[in-house]
Amino acid sequence: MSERDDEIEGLPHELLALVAREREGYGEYRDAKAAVFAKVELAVIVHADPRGADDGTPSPGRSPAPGAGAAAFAMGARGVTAVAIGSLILGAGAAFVLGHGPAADHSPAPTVTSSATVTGPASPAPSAAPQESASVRVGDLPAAPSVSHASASGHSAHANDLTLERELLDVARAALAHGNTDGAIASLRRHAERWPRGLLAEEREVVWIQALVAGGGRQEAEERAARFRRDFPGSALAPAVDAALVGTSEDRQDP
Amino acid sequence: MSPPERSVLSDEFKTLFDAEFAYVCRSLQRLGVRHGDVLDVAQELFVTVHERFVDFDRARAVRPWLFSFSLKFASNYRRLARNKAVEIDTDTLGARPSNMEARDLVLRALVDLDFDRRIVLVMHDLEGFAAPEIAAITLAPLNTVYSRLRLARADFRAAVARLEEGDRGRT
Repeated sequence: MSERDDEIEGLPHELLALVAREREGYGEYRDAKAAVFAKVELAVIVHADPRGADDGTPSPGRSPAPGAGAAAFAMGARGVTAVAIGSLILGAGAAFVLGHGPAADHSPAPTVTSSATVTGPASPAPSAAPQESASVRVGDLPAAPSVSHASASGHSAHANDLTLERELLDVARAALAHGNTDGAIASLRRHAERWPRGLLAEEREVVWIQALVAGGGRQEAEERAARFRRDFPGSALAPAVDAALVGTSEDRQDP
Repeated sequence: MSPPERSVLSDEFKTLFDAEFAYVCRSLQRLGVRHGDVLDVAQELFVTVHERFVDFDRARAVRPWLFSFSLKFASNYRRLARNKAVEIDTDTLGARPSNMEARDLVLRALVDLDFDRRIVLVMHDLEGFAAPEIAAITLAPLNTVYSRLRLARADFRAAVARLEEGDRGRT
C-alpha cells in the first residue's frame, strides 16, 4: 500500500468482514476443473497440429489407443493427438470400445506405439437425412450386422471423431458467444482442415457464417452461404443460415 | 478434482492451471461474467494463457499476469453482452433475495458499480493489488486509479446499504 491509499476513506469494519469472506471464496469451481482442462488441452493440441495424426487418407480400422501416456511428447504430432483424445475420453467418463481390447479404463497406460493415431471420419460424411417411405416395412429392412471387433472398432472411431468434432465446434460456439469472432473462425478453420467432410460439416458452416456476420464480413458470409446451399441442398440447417444473414440475434437458430 | 496426471500440456502449465483455475473463475465472476458463462470464458482464457505462457517472466508474480487476462476477457464479454442488450449478472448468483450470504451480498453490490470503478475495487480490495500495480495493468494514470478507488468504495457502501435495506423490506 502506498501513502495515497491511506488518504482514501476505507471500507467500514462490517464491509471489510464481507470483503474478507468473498476474498476466500474460490471453491465452487473446483468440480469443473478437470473438464475445463480437457477442453483447454484439446484446443491447444488441435491449434498446434490442425491436421493432427491424419495423413489425409481415411483409414477406417485405426482408432486411438486408450489412455496413451505422457511419453507421447517424444512421439510428435501423432502421439500427441492420441493422448488428447485419450484424456478427453477419460475426462468425459465415456467408455469407448476400442479395436484391440475392452473398453478404456483407468488402468496404467499401455506402451504407446506409432499406431496410436487418429484418423478422419471412418465413413464419408452423411448425406441428407434418409428419405422416409410409407411403404417400407420393418421386415423389409436389412438385418442388423452382428457386432464384431472390426465393426466395434469402426463404430468407436466414428464416435470418437464425432465427440472431437463436437468439442471443437463447441469451442468455436463459445468463442462466438463471447464476441471472439476471430477465435471462433480459427477453431472452425481447424475443424475444416481436419474434417473437411466431417460429420458436423454442415453445423460448422452455419457457425462459420454466423461468425462472419458477427465480425462484419458480410460479403464473405453471403458467399459462404451460397456455397452451403449448393453443397447441402435441402439442409435442415438452411433456415439457420438465412437467419444468420438477417443478422439479428432474435432470428438466429443454433445449428 | 485436479487435471489428469497424464497430459500433453507441460507440468508447469498444469500446475498453474491447477493452482489458479478457481482464482481465474472467481475473478471473471467478480468482473461481471455471469455464473453460467464463467467456465466457457475461463476455457478460452486458459487457451490464450497457454499461448502466451512461453513469454511469461517466471520471476514475476503470476496472479497479476492472470488477472490481466481476466480483465481483457471480462471486458470483451461485457462489451458483447451490452451489444446484445443482455442484462449483466442477472444470473450471477443464486436466486436468494432474502438472507443473502455475505459473499452474495458483495457480488450483488459490485453489479451496481460503474465498470471502471468496479475493476479498481475488485483489484485493490478483493485481489490485494497495490494502486501502482493496478495502474500498470489497466493502463490508467495512478491518480485516476486513486480517484476510482475512492468513488468505488463510496458506491459500494451505498450499494450494500441499498441491498440490505431491500432485503429487510422483503422479510
